[in-house]
Amino acid sequence: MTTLDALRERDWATLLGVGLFVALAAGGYYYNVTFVQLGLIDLGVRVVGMSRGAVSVAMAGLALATLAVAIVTGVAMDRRGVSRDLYAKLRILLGVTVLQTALTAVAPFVASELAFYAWVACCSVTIGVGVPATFGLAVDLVPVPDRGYVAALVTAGAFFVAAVYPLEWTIGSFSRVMVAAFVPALLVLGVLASGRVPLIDELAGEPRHAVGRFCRSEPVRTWSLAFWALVVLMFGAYFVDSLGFLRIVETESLVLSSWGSPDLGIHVFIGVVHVLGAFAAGVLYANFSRRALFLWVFGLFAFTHLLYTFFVRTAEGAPPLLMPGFYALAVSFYTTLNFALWPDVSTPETVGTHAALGVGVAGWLATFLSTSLALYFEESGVGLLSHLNLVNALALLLFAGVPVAVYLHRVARYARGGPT
Amino acid sequence: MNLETVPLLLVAILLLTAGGDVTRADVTFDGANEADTDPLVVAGGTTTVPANTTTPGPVYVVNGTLDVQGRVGGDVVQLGGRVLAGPEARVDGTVDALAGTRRIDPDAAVPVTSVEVTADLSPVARAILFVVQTGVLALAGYLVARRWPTPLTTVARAARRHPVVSLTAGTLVSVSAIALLVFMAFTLVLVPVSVLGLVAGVLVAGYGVLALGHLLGTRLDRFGVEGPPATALGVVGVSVLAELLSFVPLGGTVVLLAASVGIGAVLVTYLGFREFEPVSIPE
Repeated sequence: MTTLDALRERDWATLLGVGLFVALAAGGYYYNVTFVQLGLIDLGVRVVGMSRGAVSVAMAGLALATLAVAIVTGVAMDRRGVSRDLYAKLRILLGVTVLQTALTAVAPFVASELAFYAWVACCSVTIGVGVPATFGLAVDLVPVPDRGYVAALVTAGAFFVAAVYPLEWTIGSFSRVMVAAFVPALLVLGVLASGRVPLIDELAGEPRHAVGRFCRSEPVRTWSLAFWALVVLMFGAYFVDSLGFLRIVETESLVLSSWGSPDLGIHVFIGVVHVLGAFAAGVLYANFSRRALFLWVFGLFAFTHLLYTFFVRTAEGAPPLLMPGFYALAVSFYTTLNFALWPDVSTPETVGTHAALGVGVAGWLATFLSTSLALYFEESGVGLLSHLNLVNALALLLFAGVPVAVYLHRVARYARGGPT
Repeated sequence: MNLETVPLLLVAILLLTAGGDVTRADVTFDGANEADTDPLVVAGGTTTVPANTTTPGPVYVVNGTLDVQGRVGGDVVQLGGRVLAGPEARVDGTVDALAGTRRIDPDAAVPVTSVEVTADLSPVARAILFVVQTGVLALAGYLVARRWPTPLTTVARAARRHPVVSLTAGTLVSVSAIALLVFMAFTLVLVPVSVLGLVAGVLVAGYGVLALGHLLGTRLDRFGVEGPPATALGVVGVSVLAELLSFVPLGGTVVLLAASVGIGAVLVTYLGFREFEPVSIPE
């Protein structure tokens, strides 16, 4: 049953399931893109007094530790059958949320480097456990034909709110927003995980949406080219985004007229573009092959960075809004793909591992490596233009690489005498 | 930047580079700017030539405002927007005004040659223009429906069965293509490619309109009108509907969305040569 069927037939359990997944995934992603990625920089640099380089190293460490924790958790979830158990996943998420609430509340009071590193370590554990548990809910809660649209809702919700509120990128404002959101979320999760809600009982038991879209003919194995090709492509998307954004966000003239602007109208514009981009990506995901989406993602990134390099080379002052607009579009595209893809290449036996590897390697490892590379560039005196040129080249390479890889794959298949 | 500005901007850059000796130019889009020593295209915002300064020109105005308080060494070509000239203003060439508005101080040394091609048209002239435009489209619809009925039907079917997919694909491609074409034009070397792209875009959009007309025309079979004449009448219907919507608040947006559906339907069906079938995702 799809979500629309559920709406027509007033199947509240299915609707609650979809709503719950959207709320949890969007909330988690909002926490990640605001509190972790932006709040931590403010905490380390302004509150604790560390250098920007030291904070970046800590964030890279957070990315690696999160990857390790996510893989251990995901594999353990699959092996112990937790990925098939809705209540177990909800209880894990309840525990994660309790810890994150406490961590978020104490964050503004972190005053020493040691406390900062300890805070980062605890944070990486909560996120690492939370990622496979959240993605694992898709096999229970999200109908397979709707995953593109549901992923679009998650992306749109997370990025719209992140773009619009809070405007001030300080740990204090992030902390207040997150604690205010966590407290009611804790109550709701507590009730839902208690086992006393009949609607959740209906969703529990054997996963209702067990076999992902790309596992219909045969399950995608973890150690297969099909799976790792997707991981590499998503890695490319995260890497290109992160490497470019890290430099843009450090260039005042570029960021003060867009993401860091005091003008609420600009934030709303970026938020609306995120929403439209997510919706478009959802439609494309549900109606075309995933190849089309990857091509759009890399094409948009290449074009966006081309715009930025052209602007840096030829103009001065504030860049036109078109540039952050295209950036937001590209980010929404790959984020939507990220939320739909990993459950769709999984079954309940593999969803924890695949989500952990997918989000971990593609997301966190890419962040770790791009942060390290950005730091290296900075220390080597690589200028803004050269930096963006490299990002652009990488995006173009991936854009061209997708059709070439698809073509070569077909050549190999035909050479083996496969179906034409 | 307005959507309507894009073709004018491309025309301005094409005219600017037509001589072949221009290798750089400034283009302004928003905010307050001061003219530099490069050829200039004003596409938005306000660009001022300050008193006691000289910009060599030429200057093209397609949108926004050019405020001349000093001296322009060459011509000013106005395709849109506003041209202001203060009492000390001086233009060594001429202001070739094809459209837009001007406020020239009587003491300014600014010769204006005015050939208004898009000035406020009288209701009669506007009606004639609409009839001609609709007639050309209807004729195109008739000819395409007669010569290539299957592709036209395929595009129309995609627009009817998959409007959301068509809208998404059409909007995405249109937005990206417009940005790409303008960006290509900025390189000056790629201006011809950019103009070709614009022509291709207009043709695709036109094909989309014909497909929407064909779709509307199929409803006329109950009145005994079928085939190419029905498509031509359908195109007239679409054109009239679009014109009427332009008088309604948000009507322009509706027309733009419908045009995007048409463009998307053309693209997802490979110009109508392949039926669009979305991927199947069973529950």
